[in-house]
Amino acid sequence: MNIPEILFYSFTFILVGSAFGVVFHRNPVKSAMFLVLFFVGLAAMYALIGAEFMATLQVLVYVGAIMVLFLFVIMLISVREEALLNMGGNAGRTVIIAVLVLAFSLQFWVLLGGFMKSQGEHVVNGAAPYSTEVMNYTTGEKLLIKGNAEVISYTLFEKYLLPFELISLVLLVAVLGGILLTKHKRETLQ
Amino acid sequence: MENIFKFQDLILSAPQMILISGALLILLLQVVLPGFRRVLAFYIALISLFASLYVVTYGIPGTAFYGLLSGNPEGGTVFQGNLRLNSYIQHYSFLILLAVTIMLFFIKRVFSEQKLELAEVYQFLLYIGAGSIFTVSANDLMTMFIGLELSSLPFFILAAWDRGRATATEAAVKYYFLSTIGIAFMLLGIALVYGGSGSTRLSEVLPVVFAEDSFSYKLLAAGWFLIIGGFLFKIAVVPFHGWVADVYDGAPSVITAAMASIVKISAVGAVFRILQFMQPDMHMILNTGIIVFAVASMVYGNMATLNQNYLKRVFAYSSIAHAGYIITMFMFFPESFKAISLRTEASSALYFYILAYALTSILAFATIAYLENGEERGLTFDHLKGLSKKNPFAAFLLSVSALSFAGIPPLAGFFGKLFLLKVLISAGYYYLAVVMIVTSLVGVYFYIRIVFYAYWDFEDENARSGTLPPFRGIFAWSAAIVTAVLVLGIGFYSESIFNFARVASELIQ
Repeated sequence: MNIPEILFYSFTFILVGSAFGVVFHRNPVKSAMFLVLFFVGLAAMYALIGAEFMATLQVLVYVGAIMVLFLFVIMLISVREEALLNMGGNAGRTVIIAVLVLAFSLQFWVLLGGFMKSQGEHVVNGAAPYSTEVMNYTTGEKLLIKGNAEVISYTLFEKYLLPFELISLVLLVAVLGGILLTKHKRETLQ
Repeated sequence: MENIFKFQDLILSAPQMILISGALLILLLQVVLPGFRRVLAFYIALISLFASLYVVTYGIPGTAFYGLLSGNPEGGTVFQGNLRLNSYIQHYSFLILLAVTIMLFFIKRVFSEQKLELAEVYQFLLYIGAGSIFTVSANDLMTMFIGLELSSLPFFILAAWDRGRATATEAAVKYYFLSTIGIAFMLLGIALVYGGSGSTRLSEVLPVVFAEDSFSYKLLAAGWFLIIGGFLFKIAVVPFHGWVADVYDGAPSVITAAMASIVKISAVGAVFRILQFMQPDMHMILNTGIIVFAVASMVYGNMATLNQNYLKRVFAYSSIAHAGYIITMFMFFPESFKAISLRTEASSALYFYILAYALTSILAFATIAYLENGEERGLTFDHLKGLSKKNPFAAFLLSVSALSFAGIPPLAGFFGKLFLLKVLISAGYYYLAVVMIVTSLVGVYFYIRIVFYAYWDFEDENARSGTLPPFRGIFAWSAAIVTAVLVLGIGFYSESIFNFARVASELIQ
């Protein structure tokens, strides 16, 4: 085990642990704090694969802006501690959980197969692989350029220009819907 | 540089751009224009839809954008390869625009009657149309995903439009959460496909050659199956059907009509197009799943309908059965079917079926929407008793849609089923054809029950057809008559529509 690998596994541990903390903690403020920890851990992961720009953005946007908003909302609506819901109460919930578990194990199986097989071979065509080789990129040079702001901006404004612009429409629809559904006095509705 | 944005891209994606400009114009005028009236929003939406329909049908002279009638021999890509342009996509765009236009009239009438009309409704309808066309025409998985979001987000809002009703809010919340989960799986699938092939461009995914048991191949397979699963959720096939009954029942009935038609058209058009970018040997695994899902949907959808008393639930469950019929056409992608051109047959059979199904759904749910008079729950069979005397036009419309769903000749639904059966039998899937016929026969029972209740001369103290509002309004009549004539009439032109769609599907890419 080299150092990036040790770092990877320790951050994985933090990520999974804090994700559980978000879901299972009774106090919403503490849940939000676990979410902050999760985002920071994710930023560290980005840094590990050499995407330092993504890591910076992750900290700035999620930890800096979105989590503050979360905490404001929690403060404004003064949520109290909640008891855990009775899981698996009805059939629909059970099906959803079963599908989630199934999908997770499928993914896990695929990834595990990859770890077993691709210790040496590396046949991914240009994409960042999920294999152990990811860790080598911190020492190697191959994917270092992928993390640069330059590459991201070229991708965003050339190759993916259309989806990028369309997202603004999706957000516009979401904003309009939020206003319309929560506004107290509309012109015609009850 | 080929990657730079060109003005020509906007022209080549004219149908979507017209709709989006119309929607933004409505938004802008609401703020800027002092005496803004809702009817202005309606006419802006109508004009943009008609302009878009015209462009799709006749094309833009002098550009590479060929219309439906002139054909598009070469096809091409727009927006740096984000969108695809060909005849198959024009066909589905036309269908989406037709459904949105019909729904515009229905929604205008019903929402102004129920005092639910706001200018934003028309704006949302335009977004739905544009998003659906983006979904069908996407050449990139990210564009497809965002198009799907753009077309489904307005539906979550419109489902909760009648805020006063608890069932509407419940329907919206259910639809929103379950859709989000389904979409999240699809997004994970897109990420895995990207991880496996190194590209999200559909045309760049297929040529990548893998060793059969390599890591990337497994990633790609898992990714594709998750993407297809997300689409099957939108089409509402049996393992992913849990939301259908409650959402279709709870949402306002006109919105249900739009949901049942537009969402399915775009999902089916997109999934049939992206299936050909899967590696051929993955299709063998997928086909097994599709057979299981299709049989389960046919059986469940038809059986669950039998003890329903609410009309909207009847049609909701029958839509699950129809989804089962639809997905049987997704099985013709292994190499062996390409040689005997069964794939193009399947494509045009699917096109005709989805055309017939969408029109019939619109007719059924929109008629129910007219007949509802703001009661807490929808129509039951008691409301239908003696309907032909109190409200002959509504009884006629309901009967036409029920018989078309049942597959009685010469209505549209019959020819849809006929083409599906023809393709299935010539491919050798005899048992699937038998299951389809038998479950359809079960289904005929409750469809005929609707006609029977509406036309039988009941002297029953339970009969409540007198409490229903009369069918009136110029928009109501015109839209209903157009849809009914289409459902009655396209059967007579089924052969030419089938051949017309086949010409398109030979060029599908």
